[in-house]
Amino acid sequence: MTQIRSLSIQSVKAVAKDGIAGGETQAILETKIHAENLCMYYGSFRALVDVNFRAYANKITAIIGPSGCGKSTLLRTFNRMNDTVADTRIEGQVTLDGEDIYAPDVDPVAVRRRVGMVFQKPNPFPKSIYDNIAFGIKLYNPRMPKSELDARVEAALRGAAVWDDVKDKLKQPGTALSGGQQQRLCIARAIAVEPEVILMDEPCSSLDPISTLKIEELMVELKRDYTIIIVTHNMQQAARVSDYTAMMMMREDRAGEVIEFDETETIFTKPKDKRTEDYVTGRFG
Amino acid sequence: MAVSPSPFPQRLPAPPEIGADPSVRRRQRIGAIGQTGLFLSLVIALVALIVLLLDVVNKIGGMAVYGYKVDPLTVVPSIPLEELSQEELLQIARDFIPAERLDELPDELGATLEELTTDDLIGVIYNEVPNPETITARPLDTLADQELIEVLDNNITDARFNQLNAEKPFESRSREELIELIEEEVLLESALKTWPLFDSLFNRQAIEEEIQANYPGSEYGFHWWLTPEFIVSDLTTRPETTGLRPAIIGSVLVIFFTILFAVPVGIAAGIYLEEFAGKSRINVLIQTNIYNLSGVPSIIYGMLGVAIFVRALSQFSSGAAFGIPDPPPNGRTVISAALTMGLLILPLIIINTQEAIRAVPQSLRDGSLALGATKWQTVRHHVLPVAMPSILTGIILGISRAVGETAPLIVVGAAAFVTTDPSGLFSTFTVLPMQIYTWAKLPFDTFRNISAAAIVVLLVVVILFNLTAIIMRNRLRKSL
Repeated sequence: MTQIRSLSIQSVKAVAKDGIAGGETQAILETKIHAENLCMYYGSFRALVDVNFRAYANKITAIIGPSGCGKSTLLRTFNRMNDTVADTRIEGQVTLDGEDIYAPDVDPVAVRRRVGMVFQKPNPFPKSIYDNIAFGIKLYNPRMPKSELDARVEAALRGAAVWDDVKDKLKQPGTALSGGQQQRLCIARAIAVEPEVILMDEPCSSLDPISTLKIEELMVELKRDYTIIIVTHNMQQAARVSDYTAMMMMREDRAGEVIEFDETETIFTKPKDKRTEDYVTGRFG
Repeated sequence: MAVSPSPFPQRLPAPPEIGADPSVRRRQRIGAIGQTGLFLSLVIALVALIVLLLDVVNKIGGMAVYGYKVDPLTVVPSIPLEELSQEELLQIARDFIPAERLDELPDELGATLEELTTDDLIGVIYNEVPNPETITARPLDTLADQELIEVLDNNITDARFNQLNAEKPFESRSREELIELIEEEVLLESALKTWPLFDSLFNRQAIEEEIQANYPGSEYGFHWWLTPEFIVSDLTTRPETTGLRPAIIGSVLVIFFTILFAVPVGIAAGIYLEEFAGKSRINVLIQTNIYNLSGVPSIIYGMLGVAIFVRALSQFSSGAAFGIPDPPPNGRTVISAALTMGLLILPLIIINTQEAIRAVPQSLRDGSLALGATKWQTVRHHVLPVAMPSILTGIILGISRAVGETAPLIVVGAAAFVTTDPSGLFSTFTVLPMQIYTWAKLPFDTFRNISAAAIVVLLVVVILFNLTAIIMRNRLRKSL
């Protein structure tokens, strides 16, 4: 483990020297997730081609691009959720802290503990709010004393800024909450198992603007402790919350690729690629 | 400002004024006709169901006229003719010998009756009167208790006599009870003719007149065939006294073990096929076969049951292999029936479980997997609880089918007549539908009556099983 840790720090330093992060950033950036020459296939269909992508620790990285370009597919390669779909495979490499998460001896279940996920549509379990959070905790410590479990559930709910909404109704079903509360409950569920990375797949697309604002504020809070990768269709959202942005497009053969990756400010103000400029300024298509 | 050209090559007809659009009215009318059709279908279904139920209910009670199968005068003690005086004997001769014979007799005997000795007179009476001993028979209600017991003793088997005595000693029975016992056991009091329930309720007058015309002097009254005694009594060969208890117990036992076998296996197989089995060619083949199996006629399951459980595995299905005392001679036992029924409803439960699991949203699985739960934990904690109410619906359907199924059990060997209650896995047994079938095919009205009564009992058993499952399902739904 120490070996891997030191290895990852070396690679981080290398990254910083590369200057991919942009010249202005002086702090050392630690690469949390790194996809190299990643191709991903559904059966014979190539969904991603030659993707190179980085997510830095404690930063929010946005993935933007038109519908169907493979944003969600890329996101789901980072916690191996694509494995749940039959007949998928990848070429290339995805590393988490320098470890290859697609190595033959890696169990996707172990990856998902370190890389949590929040989905497009809030999907709380049809159980009580308390059990929604406790389920994940119990996976890793089935015999945790009740008092400690209670404390962790509360901490997770506070961490997702939903404690005040639900503290009086922990026994009520999570599905009875409003959409925004449900989504924050799902975030609480994700952080309750102490992941290192949180993947968010259009987490606000089914929410009203006020709930969206709350989630965005929450994301900024959360990046202190977690690395966040968010897929979004909302340009303003990407500009508001993210530190880095990856722009994806679809090739002629409908395979998705990352055409530009940079600091968010750069992507939105002086993109290098004409297509990125067209897209972020709303002139696309 | 220029009007932009229409994207359509041809415009739709311009709408007339709101409120006077004939096309809207026509479309609404088509809808109304369709809706009426849907409603009529419901009415047809309901009417058919109600007619069926009324037909059954119509037979469970009604007017009945009673008679004895055995002439009471032939079983009661009579006063020997020898003990009678000459006067009494002469009176009997005059009353019971037809008038023309009375005229002929003096010529044949060469003497008038009055001139005969008592012995000769007795001889004449014996010759001329059929069943002479019944002349002096003493009616049942004039007998003493001890004499009543003797009547019983003389006319039923010793075994039955002892059995009745064991149930309640004769000495402690009241006079009325003894007479009733004689009527049932010896005289075989039975309904000579029965009338349907609704006829009896609304046409009682006409029926009573008919009874008085055709069965003068007979007892008659309103008779319920579906009584508490009917439900709790032993099976007998007579519709008036038979009960249904062994069949009810048999049905409940068979269904219980059917559920015990088919529900866990069916749910497990359904989960495996839906969640864990891949889409390989073999799995597709298995899937197709399960769908086909659910359509196989039940009698074929019966034959399968005979071949495997009754014959090939008779050592196990009779319990002999497990060393139970007095195993039945073959495998025609509760366990064979339960396993056969289990096989019958297994495809039903598997398919239903699969459909229930398929209906669980993928987002739920994703949510669990994304937390780092294994597939097993995801299925166990999230998919199954959510699918359970629908799975139970399938189980309800399966149970209803199994409770009412007769054909496989006829083949597997439900006995048409068992005298003892089935007591466990390795008992011979009968079941309600079997009993209904046996009775319904007998050419007597009274058997049809008890058959109808048994149908009502069967329906109640089905409803009870289903009610249990429905209550469980609603509990599960609430706990979600």
